[in-house]
Amino acid sequence: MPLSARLVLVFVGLLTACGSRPPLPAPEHPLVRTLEAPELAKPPPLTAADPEHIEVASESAKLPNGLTLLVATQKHLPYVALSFATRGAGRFDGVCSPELLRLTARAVVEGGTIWTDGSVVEPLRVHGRGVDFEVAADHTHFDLSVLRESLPAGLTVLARTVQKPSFSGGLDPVRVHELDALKSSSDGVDSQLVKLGAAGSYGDDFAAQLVPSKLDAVREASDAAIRRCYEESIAPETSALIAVGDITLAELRELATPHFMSWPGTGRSLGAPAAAPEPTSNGLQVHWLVAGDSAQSRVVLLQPAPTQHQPDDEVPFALLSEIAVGATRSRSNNTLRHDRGVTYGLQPELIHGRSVGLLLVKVSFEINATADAIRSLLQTLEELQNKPVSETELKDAKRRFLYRVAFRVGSHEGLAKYLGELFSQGKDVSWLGQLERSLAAIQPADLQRVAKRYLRPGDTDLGVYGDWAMRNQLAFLGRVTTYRAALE
Amino acid sequence: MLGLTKPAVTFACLSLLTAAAHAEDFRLQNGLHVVLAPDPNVNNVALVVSYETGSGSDPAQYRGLAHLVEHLTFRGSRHLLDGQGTDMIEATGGGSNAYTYPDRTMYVAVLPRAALPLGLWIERERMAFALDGIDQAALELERKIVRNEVHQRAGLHWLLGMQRQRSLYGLPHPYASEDAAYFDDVSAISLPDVQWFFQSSHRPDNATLVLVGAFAADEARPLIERYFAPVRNPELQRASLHPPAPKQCGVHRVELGHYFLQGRMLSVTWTLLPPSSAPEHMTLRALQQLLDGRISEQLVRGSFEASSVSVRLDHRKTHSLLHLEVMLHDRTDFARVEARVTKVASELAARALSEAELRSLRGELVTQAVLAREDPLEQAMAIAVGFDSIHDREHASALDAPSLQRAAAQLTGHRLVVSARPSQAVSHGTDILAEDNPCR
Repeated sequence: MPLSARLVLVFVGLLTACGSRPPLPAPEHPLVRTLEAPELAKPPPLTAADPEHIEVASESAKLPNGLTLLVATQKHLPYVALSFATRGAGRFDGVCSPELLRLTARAVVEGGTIWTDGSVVEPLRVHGRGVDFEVAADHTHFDLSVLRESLPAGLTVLARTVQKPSFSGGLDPVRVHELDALKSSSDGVDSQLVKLGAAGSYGDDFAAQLVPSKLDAVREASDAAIRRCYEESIAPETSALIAVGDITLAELRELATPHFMSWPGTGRSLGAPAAAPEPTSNGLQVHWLVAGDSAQSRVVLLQPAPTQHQPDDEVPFALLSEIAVGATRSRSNNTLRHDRGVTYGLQPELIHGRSVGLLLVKVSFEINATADAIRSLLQTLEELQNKPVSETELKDAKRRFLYRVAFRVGSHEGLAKYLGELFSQGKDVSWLGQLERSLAAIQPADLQRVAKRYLRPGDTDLGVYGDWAMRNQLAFLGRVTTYRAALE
Repeated sequence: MLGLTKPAVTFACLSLLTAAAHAEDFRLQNGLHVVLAPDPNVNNVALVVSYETGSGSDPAQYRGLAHLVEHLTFRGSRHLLDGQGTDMIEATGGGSNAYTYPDRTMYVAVLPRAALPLGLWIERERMAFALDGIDQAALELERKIVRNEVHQRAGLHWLLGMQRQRSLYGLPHPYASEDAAYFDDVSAISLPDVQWFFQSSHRPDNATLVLVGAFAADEARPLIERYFAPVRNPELQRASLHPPAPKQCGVHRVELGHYFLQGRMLSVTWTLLPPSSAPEHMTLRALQQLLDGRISEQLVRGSFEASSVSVRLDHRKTHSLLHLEVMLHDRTDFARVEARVTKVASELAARALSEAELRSLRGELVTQAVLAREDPLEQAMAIAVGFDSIHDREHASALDAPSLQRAAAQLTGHRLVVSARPSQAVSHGTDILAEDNPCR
């Protein structure tokens, strides 16, 4: 073979080697070997009625100082979930700044506890487990789960922790840990987008409450300020000691009374909540956090939602958001993920506080599809305002809602937290038992009513993150304000 | 005719499960391994079908194939429309999902008891007839969704995890791949590639079906027989994967730069012998717990050199990995933290726990085991991997100090140490700034 021909062959060979990959074996045919069985061609029906009733048997009592005791006895597993919930001590309640409130809750748990002999001890643990805390929208709770056999120790630890924080010197480690937590929760893109959207819709003060991020508030909080925040936010009259598991009310009372009876009542009652903030958005405003080079955009949409002072709207709105953006097969997930493939899926979150109600939707899109996808998302919300949902959609959403609640209260820890939420919202446990009836009464028109009352798809501030390639498409959505990403 | 054969426990860790009055395992004639663990303490049923094929089985230059196939199986089947299975599960109030791990792909559902037949039927449709629902249009859509999913997840920890796999195993290796190649590979996957991979992986003789929760074994057994015994295995060869364990050569150090997020991280990975029994598995979990507790105590609560510590166990087919990750404060010295970690590991290997320490650790693990009983899905997933989660409480109570010390001895030798810091100079996610690999 002449040299030139050999060179051509080598060149072709190199091209083949570089440009292709070894093929996989071919599939066998027929593709499916399992034989058709007509009797198995249809899905089987459910074997019993749907779970439609959530029964939680609970008992409650009050100690003389006003502390509520709440017990749900469940004896199938040998452990007890304890939770101490204080209503009115949420991050939107304004008792202290959200940063100081979280720092205070952390100092209660990590800052040392005055033990029965007067010494300061930390960390307090039962079988390696310490007290957890969370500052929610409308309450703060401290939780500890213990084996039944360790219940007396567990109650002692929880009771001393919430009542006898030392707050005396040595709180710098607590500040360091809270700064770490605050940085990691406020540094991310989502937090920045939520803040931009909230500032645009509701103003800077509200945005600062929604996304606590003032590091100086943590660095500079004095021990005295922490103590003051504790005294103003945690009191027996506004708190409940909740126990779920292998325990009765009589047992809880007997175990808790020695620990809590000397805690003086303050005579305090929960004040009226502030009025819900009104969004002031006018038209569509895009707050664009410009990234260097991003493979995807990130979008955060905020919509008003009912507060606890609109109790009749709470469940219809939850069903509405389920149908719009919630379920795997929600309208928006169907359109944007399953039909168009431009996202992996939407992540909604409902905030249902005493004076704040919000629906937050977080989602990533393909860069080039971002503006169209945002339009589609807003259009879905508009449609819910203009046309009632179908009976089938509503029925499925009701079932999912009920099941999700049943799932949450299906564990001792889940039920203890749920009871804390109900307590904080001023609801009785019977709310759970009545849920089935409440759901049955909801009609498609109710969802349309709450859609009209709360959603504002045409007047909203959006937070968007993505690179310069999005410039033109965003301009077609509405007014665009650009921001430089502080971090990527 | 019942397609049952006598119990054949393929996972050593399940040996105790068969002894339990309320748990059983058996194998259908087509090879499907079934484990039934009824638990009257919970209200739901967890259903897991686990195929012993995952991302580690992606052929070279076909990265993402297992993940893509997992997505595509939700696109319908012979008797289900696109997405209808998910709709049906959600309409009962249940939920479903799927996960592609390096060694296996799991389809999971949590169902109300009344929906158990439906859940099993949907999994039969997936196993037997999913290929009838996968066409070119579905492939093109799911390619986009998979790309979107990976982009969405590609945070610091994901990128560092990928880099760590490359450093640990070297390239080429089934558990490690180049970041950049992934998307090219996914884009080039064809429909016949998907069909071949499905046939070699999603089949009864490559699967374990686990039920945990609110059902009666007498009720589930005939249903499983009815739905799954007729499912036939393809004639082509079943996928199998036995990737080699990482090469061990002392302390392998890698310095990484990453271009996004602020923060520095030290990670240490030890390669361990995989547990061959449930008690051994519990011993490794105890070691994980101890390491986490002691290092957190020193670095987070004691010296404030770090903001967080996490220790994770990762079981692979031929070995296990213990990953430690420490997020460092700005001025903390990497070498100092590594020295502390090494010291804690050495102490665990050198000295057996005292009786009081052991009692405390047992209490911690027993508490965890009791709490875990309320999560049937977590238990079902553990069983599908081969661990007897039903008896965790007993294993935790029986934990002994010499076994723990022997396990800890594995932490004193070979390891991969990765230090990651922000760097403006890095162009794509993560770059290696320096490396000292004694294996080379």
